[in-house]
Amino acid sequence: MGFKEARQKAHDVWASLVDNKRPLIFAGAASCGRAAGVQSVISAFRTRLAEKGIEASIIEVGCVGMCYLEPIIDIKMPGKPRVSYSNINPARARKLIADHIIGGEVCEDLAIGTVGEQRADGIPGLFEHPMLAAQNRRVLRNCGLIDPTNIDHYIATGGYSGIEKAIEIGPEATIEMVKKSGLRGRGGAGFPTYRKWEFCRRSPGTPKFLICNADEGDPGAFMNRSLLEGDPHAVLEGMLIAGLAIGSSKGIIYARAEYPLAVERLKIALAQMSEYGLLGDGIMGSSFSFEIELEEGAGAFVCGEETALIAALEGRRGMPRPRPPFPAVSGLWGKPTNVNNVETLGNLPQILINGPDWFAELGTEKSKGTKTFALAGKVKRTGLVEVALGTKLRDIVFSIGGGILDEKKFKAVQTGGPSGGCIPLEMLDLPVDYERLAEAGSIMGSGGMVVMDESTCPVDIAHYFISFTQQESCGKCPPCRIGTNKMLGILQKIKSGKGTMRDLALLEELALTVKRASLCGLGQTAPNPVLSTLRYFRDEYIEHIRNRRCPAGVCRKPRKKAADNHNSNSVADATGGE
Amino acid sequence: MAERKRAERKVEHKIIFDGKAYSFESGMTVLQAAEAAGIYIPTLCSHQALPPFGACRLCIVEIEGMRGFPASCSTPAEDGMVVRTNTDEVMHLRRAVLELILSEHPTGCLFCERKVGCEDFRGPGHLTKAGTVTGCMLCPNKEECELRILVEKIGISEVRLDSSFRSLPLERLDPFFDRDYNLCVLCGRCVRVCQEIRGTSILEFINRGPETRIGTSFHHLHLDMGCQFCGACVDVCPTGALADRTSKWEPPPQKTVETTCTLCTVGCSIEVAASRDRVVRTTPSRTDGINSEQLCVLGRFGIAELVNSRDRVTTPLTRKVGQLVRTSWEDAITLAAEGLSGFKSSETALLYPGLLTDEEANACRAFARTVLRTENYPYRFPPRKWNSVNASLSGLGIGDCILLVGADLTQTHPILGHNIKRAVDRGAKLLIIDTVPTFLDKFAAAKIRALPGDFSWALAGLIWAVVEKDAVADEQELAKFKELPKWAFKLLFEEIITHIGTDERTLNRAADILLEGSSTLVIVGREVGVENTHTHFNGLLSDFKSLMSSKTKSCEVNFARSTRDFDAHWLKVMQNIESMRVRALVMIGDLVPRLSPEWPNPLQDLDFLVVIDSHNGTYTPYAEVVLPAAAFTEKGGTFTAVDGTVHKLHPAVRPMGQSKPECEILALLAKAMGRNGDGLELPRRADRDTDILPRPERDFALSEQPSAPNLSREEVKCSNEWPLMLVNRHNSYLLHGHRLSRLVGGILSLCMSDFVRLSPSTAKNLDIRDGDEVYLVSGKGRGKLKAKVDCDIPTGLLVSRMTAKDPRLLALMGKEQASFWTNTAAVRIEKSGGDDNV
Repeated sequence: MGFKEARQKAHDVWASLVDNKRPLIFAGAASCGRAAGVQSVISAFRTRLAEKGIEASIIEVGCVGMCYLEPIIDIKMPGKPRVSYSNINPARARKLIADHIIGGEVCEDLAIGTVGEQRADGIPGLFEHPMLAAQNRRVLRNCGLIDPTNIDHYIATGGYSGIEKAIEIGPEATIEMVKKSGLRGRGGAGFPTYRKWEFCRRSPGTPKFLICNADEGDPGAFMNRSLLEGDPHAVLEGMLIAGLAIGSSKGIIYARAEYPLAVERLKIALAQMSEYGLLGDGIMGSSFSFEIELEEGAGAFVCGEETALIAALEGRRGMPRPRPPFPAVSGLWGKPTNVNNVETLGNLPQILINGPDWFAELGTEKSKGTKTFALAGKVKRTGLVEVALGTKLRDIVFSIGGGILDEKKFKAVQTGGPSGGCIPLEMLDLPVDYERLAEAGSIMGSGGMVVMDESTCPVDIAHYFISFTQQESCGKCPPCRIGTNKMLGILQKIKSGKGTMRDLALLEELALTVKRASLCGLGQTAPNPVLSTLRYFRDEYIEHIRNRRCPAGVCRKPRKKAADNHNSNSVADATGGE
Repeated sequence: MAERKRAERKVEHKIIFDGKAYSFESGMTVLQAAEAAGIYIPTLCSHQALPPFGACRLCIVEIEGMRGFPASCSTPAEDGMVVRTNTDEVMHLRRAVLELILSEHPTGCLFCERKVGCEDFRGPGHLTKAGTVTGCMLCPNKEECELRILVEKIGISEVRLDSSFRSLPLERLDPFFDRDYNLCVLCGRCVRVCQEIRGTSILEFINRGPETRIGTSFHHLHLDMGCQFCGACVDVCPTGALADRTSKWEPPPQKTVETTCTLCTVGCSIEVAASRDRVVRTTPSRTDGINSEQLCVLGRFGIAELVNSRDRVTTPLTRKVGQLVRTSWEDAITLAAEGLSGFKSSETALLYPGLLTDEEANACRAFARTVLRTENYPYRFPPRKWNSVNASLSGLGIGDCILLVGADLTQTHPILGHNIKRAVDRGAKLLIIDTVPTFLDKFAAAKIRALPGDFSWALAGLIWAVVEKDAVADEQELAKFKELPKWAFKLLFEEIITHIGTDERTLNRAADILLEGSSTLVIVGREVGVENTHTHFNGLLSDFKSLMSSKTKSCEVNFARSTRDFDAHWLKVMQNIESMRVRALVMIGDLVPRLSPEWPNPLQDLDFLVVIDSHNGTYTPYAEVVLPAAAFTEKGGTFTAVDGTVHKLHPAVRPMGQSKPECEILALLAKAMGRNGDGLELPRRADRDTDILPRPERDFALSEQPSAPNLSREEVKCSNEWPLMLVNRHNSYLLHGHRLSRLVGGILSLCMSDFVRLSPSTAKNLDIRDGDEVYLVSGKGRGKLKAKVDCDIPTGLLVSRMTAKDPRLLALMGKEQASFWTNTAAVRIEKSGGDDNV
């Protein structure tokens, strides 16, 4: 089957969804939906539909980004608009069947919006919802709307036109296009993607490898997971484009083994690609050949660092090594290798389809396009958001996130996960881009964003993130291995009211040593939570030391060793235990 | 114009350190360039033999145009680079990092204000018997510690951080070296040398975060992991974490002497560290020897224990009223000379070992011919020089092939095995024809399994495969070759394949590799020398070489040939002793003829036995006169290695007790016997560090060529009753006939003589678990061994390493079979033995 016929078939499949003959039920069945219990909702639908003898299709889709409203169920009756319902449980599912599917009446009390052009009376469009209205969903455009296990849905919504274009214009023009778009690596460091590609393309040696870094490990971050679960083909198409651009014929996805659903959906997607001739020799009748292999990690945070990731792929211990040589020169098995983040790859198809100028419309001078963020913590609306770079933090927290829970006061927002820093109230008008975040002492990171309210203690925050990084240090270089551990010890002391001002000075000095002397990004960024909280909340540290008191009421003198773990205000709760 | 070009080229190699320009060679790292310029940059994890690692962060510098503080050890030096090595910030960071490292390391003595006085007071004696090391005072590394140097150079005087002592138990369950990971700084040198240089991968970083340690997978013992105890990890360890167990109790060495190890014929350069008249330890020499700074277990750990052994003979002994008693040299020599003079020359014989210095071997032959005037002595052919420059293993790399036939080099010549592994690392292709799995198997591009006796078949198969390819460049040569009615071509290719049980694909792949290569080095092990088909094999080998020579330069190292010739001479002397034609024997070492291990005491019928030996051996109690010989660390001379290269020996310590070098002893004997012993004595100047002595004469030859020994090997076939093939290969831990397992502590555990290795599937079929005791039963007898399940063993094969004298081996194989270096029997395994008759 050629790609033209495949596209025709896909359009037919899609048309049958838009103009459906029997009821369609879309269930938000990404990890967030599953955690909220969507599977019991689905089985409730199945049972009740069978009881009533109604023939309906249930389609499991990804996450539309409104994780706090999960489980979300969309119902589309023939000829009627697709209506989204939130917070569905089995009882409500049965109500929906009775009212909407059988009775044909939209349940206005549960509905949050309609999807598509058709509108139902009294119900706004889903994308007019305040959480979604302020977003620019480009990478996530399909998430929650299409069936991720059905390649036809992806093709029908413009999928695989990007690689078609790339094949048509050739690798050099593809790189030029990405250069013009200003796309920067979405893994955190923000290195221009085209430069990485050019570097790798020019490196002598064959074969060349393209690695998709899907080892998302930041606590509280789930951007890549949602994208892989909701729209795996976008990433896979991005891999084809990147592979074509660097002259590689072998792609590898290094996926986090703790993302079983994403892995499963990738496997399905890969099988479908092979079936459609989008993998293997002579893709779309061209001379471009590409294979993609899926490898699962073994649970090490540091393997998100590219050299450690490569070591792990080679079967060695996942430990970073100094660069140069860069992977583009000597990477996997000593061959030129290009490592791109999931989101970077997910951006590519649309750059190719809509052109670089379209991409660069959004963003700031140096940071173009959009960025996804996992909005978590003490905000009313948590979920996965995608905004134009340069959007103010205030807009993200208050317009999209809906403000702080329980009408408490905003205190800070942590960007970039354990590698990032806390940004305080005074800096809420900071436009989010790579440079400005770095100036503020944080980093863009892969997109974790944890919002904290007045009941959060910055010392506790620093303690939480440092305890994570010190545990995940690979142990190779002393600053990271020992330094983070000593920092944790001092933070523990301060938290328990035993700290001294000398400890505070030592903590700061240690943090700077670890930041400057560490071998890889993990160590170099690990002290950021400490340094940024020291920068913006030093008075609270001093309060802990001088007056033996935690202003936020979080840190107590530890009576038992495990006291911290049960503290209701600790960060582990704020990040949903991610 | 030319001048300008030259100037430009000169500029290309400039690097600026702290404002001054220095030149460097391309390919250097910043650290190497700094070292070449004489600028000190502290490092802990970098080591000259190892690729950059970039872990310790002490060698950080500032480089213009580079972000942050790059590690100089891993940053390649570039033209015009501006490097600052000692800015305040860099120095501050180094201090901070070292402080972090020291917060995990006992520092009690490092910052003690009484350090200097204490060290003087402590003197050479050391309190290293302490279980827990809390300071340098108790550290097995004595004062030779890189961490101490760093503290001095970087200059810190306290650790402000809480110290975290790991409180790990001392690991002492493995032989040869102790591991105290409380002292470890995790520089990873041991891990890297084990993986990247030695190819063994026993050590690895384990755990993560603050719990990161060095260790083995699942905390297994090194012995169980297949560690070869080469000691490379101990040598690179910058702290006292890995400590040589023997030298731990010795005082710090006062001097080091470069000499050559003569425990096998490789000729490794070693550095002997000595304190007064004791050898403290031996380490690989840092000069460029054949061993390129590596040693095997014997060279690294064996020598000190061997030469300091309590079993050394230190005074001359003579038999008085049936008892051996101490006596003076004059007395002993007179007695020996008188005794020997009482026999006709044809009634005397001299036995000497193969591993003597050239001068001694020469003196032995001269003694036999001109003093004893007998032909009853073994003649050792001089090793042939490898006949191509390319063949020296250190030169092998991409495009070269190495064909190992029946040569378990990691066992017999460990450093040659290691060098082959290094050649493979550099891109050479390795082909192996052997019976049992060897260490080198995992580096081989193709393996052809051949049972003992089948090596000719395997080689014939390989020749067939090459000829079938018809890709040999010289058509004429090939045509000629095809016409010749050679032995191999009486067989059909299919027949060969069926016989050796290898599939055609393996042979074809091997042939492809050979034909792709530009040169082939053939190494024939001594295994092949005892084959029935030995002559066939030699014929085939020359066919093979002529076949390959048209396309490639091939060359050959043949252990088999010299072993076989030596054995033949041995046999002749031994036959003469047995038939009582020889009545008086001078024996250097504890030599028991390998070919007849079952003799109760082959020397009991002798009328007069003189033993010249460094250690007490099996035959010392039967001797009339025992003369103490010096060990090789105690004497000078030259040593011709297996590849024909000549190496120097320098005495590191004085001979123990009253012992003397063999040359001197033979000269004394000759004089006492009234013969001219001038040619025998060791030239005086060998004692000095002079140039290599002229090659000793080697033109002694026997008037008659000895007939080849009559070796026959019965064909072993598996059947329903005896379904498994047992292959036993003797271990090679022998020196001058002494079993090293007796003289060197840890060797016994390396011998694996109590184990039979079997494949997991065989074990599963028979429901045998690792460590179970099993009975092997052959048509001839039975023996009890411990089972060891090993993934490297093919199904249906059992591999054991019993020594030649093991009664179990004799029972299973019969004495004829047991005499071969590798022997086979068809056996079955019984899990309980009924009546245990062994």
